[in-house]
Amino acid sequence: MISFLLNIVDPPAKKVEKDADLDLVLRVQAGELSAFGELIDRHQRPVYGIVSRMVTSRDDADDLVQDVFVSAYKAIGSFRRDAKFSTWLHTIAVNTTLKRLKMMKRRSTVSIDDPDTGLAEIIRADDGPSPAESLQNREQNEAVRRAIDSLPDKQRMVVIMHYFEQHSCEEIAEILKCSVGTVWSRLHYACKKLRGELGWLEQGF
Amino acid sequence: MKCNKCQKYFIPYVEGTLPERLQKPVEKHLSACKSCAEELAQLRQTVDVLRQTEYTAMEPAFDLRSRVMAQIAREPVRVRKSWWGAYSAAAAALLLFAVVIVSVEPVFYRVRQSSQHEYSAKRTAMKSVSPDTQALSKMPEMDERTGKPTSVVKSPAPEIKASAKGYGIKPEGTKEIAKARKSSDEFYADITPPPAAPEHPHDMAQAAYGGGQQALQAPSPMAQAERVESVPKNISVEFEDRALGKADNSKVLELERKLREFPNSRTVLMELLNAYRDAGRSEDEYAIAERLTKLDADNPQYWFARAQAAERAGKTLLAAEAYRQAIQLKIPEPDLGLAESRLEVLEKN
Repeated sequence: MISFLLNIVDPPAKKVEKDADLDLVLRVQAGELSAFGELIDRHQRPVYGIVSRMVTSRDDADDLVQDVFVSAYKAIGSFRRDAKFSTWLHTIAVNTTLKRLKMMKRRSTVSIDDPDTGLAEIIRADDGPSPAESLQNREQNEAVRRAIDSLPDKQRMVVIMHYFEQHSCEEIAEILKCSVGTVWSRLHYACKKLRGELGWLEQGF
Repeated sequence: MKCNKCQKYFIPYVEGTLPERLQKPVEKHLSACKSCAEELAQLRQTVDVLRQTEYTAMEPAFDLRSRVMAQIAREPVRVRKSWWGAYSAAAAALLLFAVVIVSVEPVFYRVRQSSQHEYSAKRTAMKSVSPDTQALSKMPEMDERTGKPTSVVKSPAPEIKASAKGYGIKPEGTKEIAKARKSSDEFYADITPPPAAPEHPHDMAQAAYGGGQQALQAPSPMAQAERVESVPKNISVEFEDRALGKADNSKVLELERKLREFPNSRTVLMELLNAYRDAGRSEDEYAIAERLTKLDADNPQYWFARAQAAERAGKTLLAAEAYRQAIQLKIPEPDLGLAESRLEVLEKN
């Protein structure tokens, strides 16, 4: 009886990993705007990691990341603590990016991601080859990046999140609000398509 | 285990994260199925390539924090409270009050109509069950619109006037119509009758003013002048503004502000180009298209957009040149066909 009452008064801790951002989130929800600045500093790099690999230019990436954080601020009142803040933020980043890409394809005569027109090529002002990259590696890397850019948006997103942002399939499933089987399936089809784009894979490298 | 089920687990199997209970069935299938084993080997190779590929993300902008905070300060952004928060009860009450005020007359109309249907049903039932025509004759026929006996019809139908007030149509318009009509029959003879249970303000406007729907669609720049003519004068200013696309001006201003912040953002440039096109600002549209082609001179889609903008702005020579560029850069179908036909027309002229 006593333990039952104790469970009501002081329930046992949830099995969810303790969220290091929770304190800041609570302060933002209470109206402390500066706490949100701290959250931006903590999470800007992973958000750029997702967004900047999905769009073609520096300005587009900056614009989109800014929109992601503003949207997160507007919605932070509805953040429930049943997921980590980073997961929730990455969901916003993914949805904002996919929505923007879809809108651009639908509304304009210009197909931003049409590989045939070369629009899928990355134009990065600050992405030159690293000194350690040999010429062969550089060409290979570029070919793989181009092939990744030609994937459908949803497949590209999971490839980027899994192989370049190091999210596990379970984390990606939580972010995309789908089953882990769906994530596996998208990765599988993405790899099949990449293999088709990269003919030299047949010969090894 | 069948092939399609086994292949579902290839990714975690290759990465070593497949649950133990599934490993044995997968391995058993792979040892027996050559094509799946080959598929797995190819997948493993592709995954290895991906793991070895360098795909650097962009460095975060040094001023991201300040720009985000500035945008939050600029916009009237409030942290959205949870729907079940302290203010929800007051907000819900206010919303309910507004809904009641706006919808009370149509509700009465529907209630009247449903009671009319009930009445008709009773009458029919009496007709079929009781051959006593004398009893039937005591129940007069009812007018479906007014819910009153057909021999006594007054004009105009009060529900039109009431909903006109609710849906932004000037009451004066309906009074003018009412004065000109002697009976509701004449009233309905000259206009499109309202739907039985209109559910949207737009339906009420259409019912009252016939061709009003045309005015409420987003006008194309070329037909803008004609659309203005079709908007009845007694529609409220709000409807007229919406019909002319003036509500889009704020979007244009917002995009222009964004462009000042991100002058080379293709996304913003494309959105602004579309916004100018929708607003009929063909000179501005052309300027943006020109900028896009300067940012990426090898992009046929940008040249195509520039050609179309030039045509809309009346710059036929520049349009022809831009179409040529788009065709030379191998713009894909169906834009290729369109570019070729437009170029032919422009060259003839």
